[in-house]
Amino acid sequence: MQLEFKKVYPVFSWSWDIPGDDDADREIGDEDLCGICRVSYNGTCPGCKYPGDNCPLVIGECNHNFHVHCIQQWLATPTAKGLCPMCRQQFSLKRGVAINEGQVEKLANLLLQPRPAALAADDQDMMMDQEFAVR
Amino acid sequence: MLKLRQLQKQKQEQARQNGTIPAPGNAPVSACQLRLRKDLASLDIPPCVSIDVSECESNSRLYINITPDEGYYKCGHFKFCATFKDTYPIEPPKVTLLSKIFHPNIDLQGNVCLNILREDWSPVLDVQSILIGLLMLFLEPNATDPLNKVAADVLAANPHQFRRDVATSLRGGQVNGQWYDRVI
Repeated sequence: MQLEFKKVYPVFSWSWDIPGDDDADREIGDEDLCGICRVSYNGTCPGCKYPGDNCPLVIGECNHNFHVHCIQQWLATPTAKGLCPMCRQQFSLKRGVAINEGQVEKLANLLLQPRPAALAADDQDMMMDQEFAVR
Repeated sequence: MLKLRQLQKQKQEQARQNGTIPAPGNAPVSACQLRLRKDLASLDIPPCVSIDVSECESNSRLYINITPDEGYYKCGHFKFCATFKDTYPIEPPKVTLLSKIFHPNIDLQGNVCLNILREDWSPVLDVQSILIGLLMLFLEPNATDPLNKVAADVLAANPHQFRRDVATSLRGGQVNGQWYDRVI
C-alpha cells in the first residue's frame, strides 16, 4: 500500500512553564485559575485579548500565581499593603523562574512603594506636590 | 468561503433588524461582570440563604436574603443589597441591610461592619465568601469594634438581655427608645 500525504495540519499547544506544576494535572484538563479574575493561567486577564506574552503570568515567592495585570491592579491599591491576596504574606516575585523575568520591573515600583500608613501624615504635602507637578 | 461569510453577515444583519439578536458591541461585558458571573455560577448556597438575581436593576447589583436557622436572629428575614462597582474584585462590593436591625455590627442605616468587606478584603474572595461572612455576623455578633454601640454594650454586659432585646426588635418592637423593623 502506498500512502500519499496531500496536506498536513500541524497543531501546537502551549502552557506556562510553572515549576512544580504536575504534567499529569495539565493533561486531565485540570487547569488552575488566576485567583483574582478566575480565568485560566493560560488564558488572559479580562483586559487582554491575546494570551501569552501579552498577558504574562507571574509566580510569587509564596508559590501563588496571578496574571501580572491582575496582581498589578491589586498591589496598586492601599488596601493591598503589598500582600499576596491568597496568603497575605508580602508579595514578591520568585527568583530564578523563567517566566518571572521581564516582569520584575513592572512590579518593582509597586512593591517598593512606601506603605500608605507611613504616608498618612504627609498626605497633604503629597497632594500639594502632585498639584505642583501638574503645573 | 468568502461568499459564505457574506451570506452569514447578511443573515445576521436581517436577524438584528428583526430584533432577534442584539447587536454585538453594544454592551461590552466588563471585568466586574465577567467575574461576577463566575462567582454566581460556582455558588453553593446554604438552605437559609437565597439570592435574587431577577430583581437586579443592573448586572452589578445582587439582593441577598438570609433567614438564620440558629442563633440570636433565628427566623428573622434579612435582605441585603450588594452593589458591585467596576473595580470588583480589586475592591469589595458595598453591602447594606435594607431593614433596621438591633445588631452590634450593623448600624441603623444598614451599614455592615465586616472585616472582609473592609480592611481585610482580598480580590480572591468572592460572593460565596461574602455570604459566609454575613451568616457569621448573625451567628456570632461581635461586641468589639461595634457600629451600634448600644447593642454591643448590651451583648457584652448581659447576653440574656441581648437575646430578649433582639427578640423584641425582630417582632418590630422598641429597644432603648428605638423602633425596629418587623422581620419575623
